[in-house]
Amino acid sequence: MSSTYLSVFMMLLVAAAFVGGIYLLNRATSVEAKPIENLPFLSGWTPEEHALSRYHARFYPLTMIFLAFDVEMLFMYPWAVVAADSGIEAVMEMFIFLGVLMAGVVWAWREGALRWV
Amino acid sequence: MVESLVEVAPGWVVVAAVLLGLMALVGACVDGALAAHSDRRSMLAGVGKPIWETARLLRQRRRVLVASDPLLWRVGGAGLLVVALLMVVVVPFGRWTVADLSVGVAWFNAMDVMVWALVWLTGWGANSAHGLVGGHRFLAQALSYELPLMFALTAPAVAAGSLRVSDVVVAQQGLWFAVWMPVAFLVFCASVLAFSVWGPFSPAAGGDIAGGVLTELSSVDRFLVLAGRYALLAAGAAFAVPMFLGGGSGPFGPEWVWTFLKTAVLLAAFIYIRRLLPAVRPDRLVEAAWVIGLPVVLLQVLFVSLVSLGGGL
Amino acid sequence: MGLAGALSRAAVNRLHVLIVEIPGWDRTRMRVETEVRSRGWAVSESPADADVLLVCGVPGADLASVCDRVWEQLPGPRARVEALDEEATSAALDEAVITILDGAVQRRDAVSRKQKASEGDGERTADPSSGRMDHTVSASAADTPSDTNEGSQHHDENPSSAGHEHDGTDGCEPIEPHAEAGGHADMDHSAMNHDDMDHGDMEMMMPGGIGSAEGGPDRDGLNLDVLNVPLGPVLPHWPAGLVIRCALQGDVITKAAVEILPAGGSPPESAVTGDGDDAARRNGILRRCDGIGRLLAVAGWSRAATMAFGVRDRLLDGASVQETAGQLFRLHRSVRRSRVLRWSLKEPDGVLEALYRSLDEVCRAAEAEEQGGYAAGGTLREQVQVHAHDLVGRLVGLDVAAARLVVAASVLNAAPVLVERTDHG
Repeated sequence: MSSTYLSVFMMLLVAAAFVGGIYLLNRATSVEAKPIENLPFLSGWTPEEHALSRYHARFYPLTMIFLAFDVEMLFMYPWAVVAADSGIEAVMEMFIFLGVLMAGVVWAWREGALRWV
Repeated sequence: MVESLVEVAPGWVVVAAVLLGLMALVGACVDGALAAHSDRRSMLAGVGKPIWETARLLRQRRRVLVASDPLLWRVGGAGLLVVALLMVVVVPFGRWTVADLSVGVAWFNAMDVMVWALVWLTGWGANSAHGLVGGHRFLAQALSYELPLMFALTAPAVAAGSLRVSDVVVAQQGLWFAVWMPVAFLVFCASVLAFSVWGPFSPAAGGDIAGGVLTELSSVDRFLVLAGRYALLAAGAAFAVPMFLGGGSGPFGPEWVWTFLKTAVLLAAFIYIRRLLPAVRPDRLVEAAWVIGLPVVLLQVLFVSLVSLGGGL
Repeated sequence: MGLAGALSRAAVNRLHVLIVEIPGWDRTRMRVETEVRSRGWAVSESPADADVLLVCGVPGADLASVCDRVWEQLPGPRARVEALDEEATSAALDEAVITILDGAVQRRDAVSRKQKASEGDGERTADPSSGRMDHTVSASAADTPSDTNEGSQHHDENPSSAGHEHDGTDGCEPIEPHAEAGGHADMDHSAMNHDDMDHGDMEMMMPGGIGSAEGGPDRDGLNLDVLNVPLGPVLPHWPAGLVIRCALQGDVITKAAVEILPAGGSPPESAVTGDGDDAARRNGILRRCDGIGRLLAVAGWSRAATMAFGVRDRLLDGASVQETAGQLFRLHRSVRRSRVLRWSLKEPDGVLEALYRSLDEVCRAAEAEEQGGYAAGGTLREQVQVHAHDLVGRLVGLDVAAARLVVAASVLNAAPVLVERTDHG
């Protein structure tokens, strides 16, 4: 049992070793090991300001709805394990809950939260 | 056929990693062959594409950008491959599995959520307008596919009464889950394409924004992102096999052959879809995913739980 | 040594070519795309992904400095070549292969080129001549047969210009590439020198001499940062020479101004008129197919785009319209049948309709051709001239993806169709 998570950790090491190895290989094979510093590509123009900025994420209202559902997933996984054993009540309770959330989605949809343009 | 699965020693993760790498390579070769075919050249001429691309990128010089965030940028790029490798630790190969986590299904889910951050960082870290737009496009897309994906993953878990991948495989003795929960299977496949930024779900790397999250990447940095995409596709296909396609069960022969075959066929289908469909912009996808996709998957889960209550099919 | 050689020999099996099309050289650009595809190479979407920079045609001063700046962004190994007519494309690509394979040249280029974009000559953003200086350094290393004949004298300052507003009023040029050559020297320059007056002393402290984004009111009543992002002239599937300077909040265009950068010479004769009546009609259909393919590519449907480019390429190779008609009808069928495309292009308005209309017209023209009478070929006669000013008005409020589709759809119908050219003088 303890070796289960050891395997996961080993895989992480393998992945890191591969990534590190390919970077080292690239140092040896590339035409010049030192990276070149460029300006960002802007169709052939120079930038007037740095791109990192407060971005207008038009999907922001959607993230709120997503969060509601995402928290629900916390219950969904443990529920999935016991649902069949706990009987019809467990299934009904979960799907009433999901139904309430879904009603919220439909309401948000009608309010236009799913349209950005 | 698959009675029980054996957990092998941690050293075998190297084999698992090599297998995933091979699968990703096969996927890239298939893509090259299909590309050559659509350009009316012989398919054989395109098979070498991943080799040549790798050689080209290894010889290329790396770039950094003015005032970029190299650390987060590289973490984003290299992370895709790492995540794909971490996904396959829970995937059984025939009757062997390297890490049969008691929460294997949730583990896969946790890994695929990491892709949100990684793709976004790949776009954001470069300090480039096109990358920034691409990264945010991916987040918008992720908001649409993630919930259907999560519920699609719960369906097999409910039917098996367990989050352990080996239990899910054993629960498919009689009938593959793909047969009696087709909606969950299809949604899962679509989500694999989506978190791999692939085919119709690739606006984050779209040509209309000069490659989006890929715009500023060169050399090994680009190689890792492209390889990571193929690896994610391959990992998704590999995970679909124990979840929906009965794992290693087959009419004859050793089980690992069947795992391999099923994965390869599904991966080839994923690769093929790339050219088939137009891109679906995230702002178009969102309504379909939330108002149609989500309820349909929920109904699928309801159906599965009612069937499981009645003792299964 | 052996490994490096093997890698470079493997790499030239799949070079990535960044194509810059100069207005008027569209046939050369198409020929390059065909050539690149038949070699199994790829057309790259950004300089970071490119090995070869191929300039199709003779750029004017602005386009030349754009090419120089893009050239600086190729990571290397790199090669810069140019093609002035269709016949020159194959040789240009062969030349690029030789340059890329030459390890010594590439080493020298990598060491001698400018290593840091952020260091050095403070006037980088404002002074196009600094770009040209870099260019001469790299040109000596990486074998650049480029032109340095019309660079500097063109950039006389225009002190009255005040940025975007100025562009906006001038922006009513029709997007009709051939008419533009060498036409308007002064209107293009407002943008070159307006970025040094906006930010004042603040940019001294910022890395790379670039300011940080400043806030501005948003259409949704928020105060969010504005990014100035020019679209074009170097962008995949983008009309040649067109520049739309956008102010973006998120990916929404809040302001747009248009410029058209002229060529620095006139294109080869055949590219403008073709030779004879038959060639002219074929040219019309060929250009339509190119436009359709590019719109489909912007919409992210590579299979259909490849079909459209396939028809184009055969016409380019000299096939008659009759020979390609079957292919054209198949394209028409699969585009009109695709529900996903219909759903995906429901917004923005007009794009899908323009695509359908263009396809219908092309097919009708091909049908008429098949029946032997090209009197009916006049379906392609109408030469819609899109005025850049109107175009810009349509873009404000759209996101970048939608704006790209609108632009691709407008030039689809504006593509110079030469069937009845004489009617228009």
